[in-house]
Amino acid sequence: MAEKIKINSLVPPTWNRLKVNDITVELPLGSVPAVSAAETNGKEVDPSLWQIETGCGKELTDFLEKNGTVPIFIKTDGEKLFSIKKKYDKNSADILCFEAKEGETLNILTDMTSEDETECTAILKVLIKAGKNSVVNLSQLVRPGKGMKVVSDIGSVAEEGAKINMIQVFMDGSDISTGSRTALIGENSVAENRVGLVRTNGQTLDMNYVMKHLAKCTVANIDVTGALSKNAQKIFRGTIDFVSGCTGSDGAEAENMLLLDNTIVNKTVPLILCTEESVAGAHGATIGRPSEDIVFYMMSRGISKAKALQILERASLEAAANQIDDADARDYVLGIIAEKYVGD
Amino acid sequence: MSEEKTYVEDINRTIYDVIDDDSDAFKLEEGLSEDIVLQISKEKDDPDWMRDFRLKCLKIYNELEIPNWGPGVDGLDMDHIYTYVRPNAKMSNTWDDVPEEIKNTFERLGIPQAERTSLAGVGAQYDSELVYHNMQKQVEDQGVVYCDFESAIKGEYSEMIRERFMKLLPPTDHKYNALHGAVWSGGSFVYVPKGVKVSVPLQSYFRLNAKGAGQFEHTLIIVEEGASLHFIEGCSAPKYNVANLHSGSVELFVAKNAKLRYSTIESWSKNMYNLNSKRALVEEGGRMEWVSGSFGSHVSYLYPSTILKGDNSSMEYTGIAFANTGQNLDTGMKVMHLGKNTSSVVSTKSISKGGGINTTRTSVQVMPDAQGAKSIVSCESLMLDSLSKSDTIPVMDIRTDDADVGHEATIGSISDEAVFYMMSRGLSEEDARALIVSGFADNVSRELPMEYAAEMNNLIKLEMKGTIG
Amino acid sequence: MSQEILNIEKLCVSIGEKEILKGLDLKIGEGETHVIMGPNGAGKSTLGNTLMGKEEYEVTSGKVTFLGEDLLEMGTDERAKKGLFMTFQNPIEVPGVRVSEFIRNSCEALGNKMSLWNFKETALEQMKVLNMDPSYLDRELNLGFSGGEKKKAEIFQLLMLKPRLAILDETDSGLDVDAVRTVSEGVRVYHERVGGSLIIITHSTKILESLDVDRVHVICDGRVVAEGDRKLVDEINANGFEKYIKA
Repeated sequence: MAEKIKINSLVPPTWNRLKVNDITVELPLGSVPAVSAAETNGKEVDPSLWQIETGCGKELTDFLEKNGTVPIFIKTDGEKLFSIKKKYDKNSADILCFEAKEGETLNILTDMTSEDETECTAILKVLIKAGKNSVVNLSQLVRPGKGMKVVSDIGSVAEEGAKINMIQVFMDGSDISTGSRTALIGENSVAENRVGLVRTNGQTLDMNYVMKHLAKCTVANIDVTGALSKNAQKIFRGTIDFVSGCTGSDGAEAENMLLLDNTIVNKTVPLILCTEESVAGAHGATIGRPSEDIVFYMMSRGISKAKALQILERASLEAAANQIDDADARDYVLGIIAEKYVGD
Repeated sequence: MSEEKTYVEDINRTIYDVIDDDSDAFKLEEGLSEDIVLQISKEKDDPDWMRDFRLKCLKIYNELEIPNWGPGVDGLDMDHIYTYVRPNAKMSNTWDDVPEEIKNTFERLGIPQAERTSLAGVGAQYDSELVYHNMQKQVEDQGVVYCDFESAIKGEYSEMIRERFMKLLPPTDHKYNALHGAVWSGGSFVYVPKGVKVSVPLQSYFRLNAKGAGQFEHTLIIVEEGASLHFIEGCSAPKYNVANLHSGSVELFVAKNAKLRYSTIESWSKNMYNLNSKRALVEEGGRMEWVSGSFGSHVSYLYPSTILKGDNSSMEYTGIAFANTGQNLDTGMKVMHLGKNTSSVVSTKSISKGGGINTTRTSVQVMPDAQGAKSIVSCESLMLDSLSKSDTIPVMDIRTDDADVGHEATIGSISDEAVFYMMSRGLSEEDARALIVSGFADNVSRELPMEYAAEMNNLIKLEMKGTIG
Repeated sequence: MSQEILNIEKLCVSIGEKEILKGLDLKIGEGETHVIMGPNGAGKSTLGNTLMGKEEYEVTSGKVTFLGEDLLEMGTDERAKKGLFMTFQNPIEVPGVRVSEFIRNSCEALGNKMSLWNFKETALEQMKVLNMDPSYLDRELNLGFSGGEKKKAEIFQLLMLKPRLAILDETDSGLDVDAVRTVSEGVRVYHERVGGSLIIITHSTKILESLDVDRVHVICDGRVVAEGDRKLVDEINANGFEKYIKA
């Protein structure tokens, strides 16, 4: 049994004919956890964590509840990298909750992949509470096989002085939907969303990132780099929301998309919502084919055009991966990127 | 003479607010029904096709939902809108024949004066009908047609109009387009023949005087190959405590290598629902320029859109919106790149004050065949206090690799440093802030003829009054 | 001493928690030229900004009388209207606002309403003194001005607004020799034609070459620590501020 739900809703919505207001996904009921409570020191989740809003939104939350997916709390071992690396082989759904206590640093890495022949849907929801002056580094690598659909949903809350660094690397594979919502509830809290993406062969990527500035002097950054080719489709929704009272806050979103051929659909929807006078919000986007100069330069050094474009594609993934704070997590992600591009 | 622009001494809203007695005007009953639509059609002595079209539009209107995005229109009850109000005046080509009271209104708005000094032709609409239409002889001699829509539809150009009427803005587009199609009245038709460059602007001014009335004028402009035109549109209304509705429709056809500039200074009263539609179709090498200043209305939905159909066609949009207390202005623009090497340059600015809400909504679409397309969009918002709201909602939909698309949006407030600097030279805080805001709006005022730039700055000063304390 | 125009008594000023001026005294007479020198952080710019009424500068005690009235009671624009003027070290850029439009508004606020024609004529005459291109009037206020252009633009405003007392805050810093000469000529013309008083905050002597200096004040740590005639400038240029800085 499957259910059709709407996720990644744009708030407020815009013209319906542009088809960017939300996406409908069909998700299977009866999805089982891929991560067992035993391997994560799981324990009961503090209900306040469970209530954190996410980027995909309420319909996914309701779906998971209906599916009977139980949130599990993960206790990490200090700063030591906590990794969940899964090769999916059946319909799966997990809700993982993390809490960084005052002054703590958490390093988390998730890796979602599958064999090409496996048909399945993987839903991963991550909830984060970053306490006072804590740091949470969440890195996600998503590289589904040809038959896997992925929904990656994140919700986080940053208290006073907390810092949440989220890095997502979306590699070639199949369709992905992802959302993230960060509530900056404490003064001087900081959140970064960095995304590196490659989509090709008709694959889609539907993104919805929301940064909610709810306290004074909060800082948020959304930064997306990527490359599209061969009928690939991508929607980037980014919302910087300055709520009244968030004086002195600063929010920025930037997008740098390489379009490698004439068959792609690249949609960008960067919202800035503002009910506060003393804030600075900015958005910048550069969208187009790679500069002729760069391609020509590489070709003058004997690199074929196809190879040159591949180098640029890889660079857009590495741009995000290089920002991963934890050395082990960074090496792991860079290693997988290298592996992917070395063979070709 | 550019320094004259924001050097405005006396600020006075009363020029817009004077209410004329409308007791001798002819009104159809309020509300919307097939009967009312047929009566309007009869009043206007429509050709059959137009009568049938009106009825078709009414049907579509009843089928369509109000938009599920954008500001609420709850305060607008079509059962209490007079869709047709005819002033007690025949259309004339001399101001002497326009009834005294109506003429005085247009005098206060400066229309006849501007006509004498800086316009090639003027059309003045009062409620549902035009009361004045005139064009300079030398422009007429070049073959330029500028006349009221009703005459045009029955005259020499009837076929040309029938082919185009509401084809760019079909009634199925949205509910208020359908409404417009059903009850439209008044407006202008302009035809500029091949190669004719009209060096001085034409202007239509739309004045809505009757309480609780709607104005639904239709403007259709055809600029033929290699020709050029600057068309200015002005609109205002006195304030009432009931809703008034403006749902005009503007269809613009820019032929090969032709150029059209369409400028609007809108200062509707703040009980107005301004649900307006404007669209331009640009052929090869043609150029469309929009200059737009939105100051009035209670609720606005306004997004001039451009279809860059021909190769090497281009558009430029320069707009400003000022939302003050009680105003919810949803403005912006749309552009669709279809032809090769097409370009769009867009600059929007919004100013929010006293709880006013601005939404800047834009859409840039680059279709697969539009190789070599270039688009630059810049949205700047100025927040004057923390009671107000300013949202920027851009969409870019790019479907070719050979496109160069840039977008930037910024939001900010008036810097205390700048205010202090100006005060240290003797300006009061209020004047300093007003001057800085005028400077912010400079991108629009510098695109306007001097008198209109002065009017715009006047409106800004008016809105800035009472900012302090 | 000629008739007193400005009298500062025991002025104490803080920014936030930090006290910058600690009981400063200064008297300026009508038409006099005073020079203020002092090491970095002594409070020279604080003095200018406080006199002009900048918000962050909190007067904790002391008194300032300008033309017989309590200056500290006045808003910034009132001070300007009374005849006080300060050049900014780094005047702010205001996009969209034309130089001409701004200065014409200022002149009018100061009670000198001019027709457009008159204004232009007057402005061009003053610009000639400063070797400024007429196109400057149509530029956006301070936007993209080079360092030298900004300083000249401030002196141009001095000539247009004709204040009773002008504070020149390091107007000569960062300028090449020619530019300093031009600025200095502008100041001389102001002094000669308007007869106003000057407080010149400076590090160098070049700007003073063509001016008669009535009095020199050395400020250290928020107080006037030495006063003298023009010779004091040379003395400081030779020996620095060392002997005035308390151990």
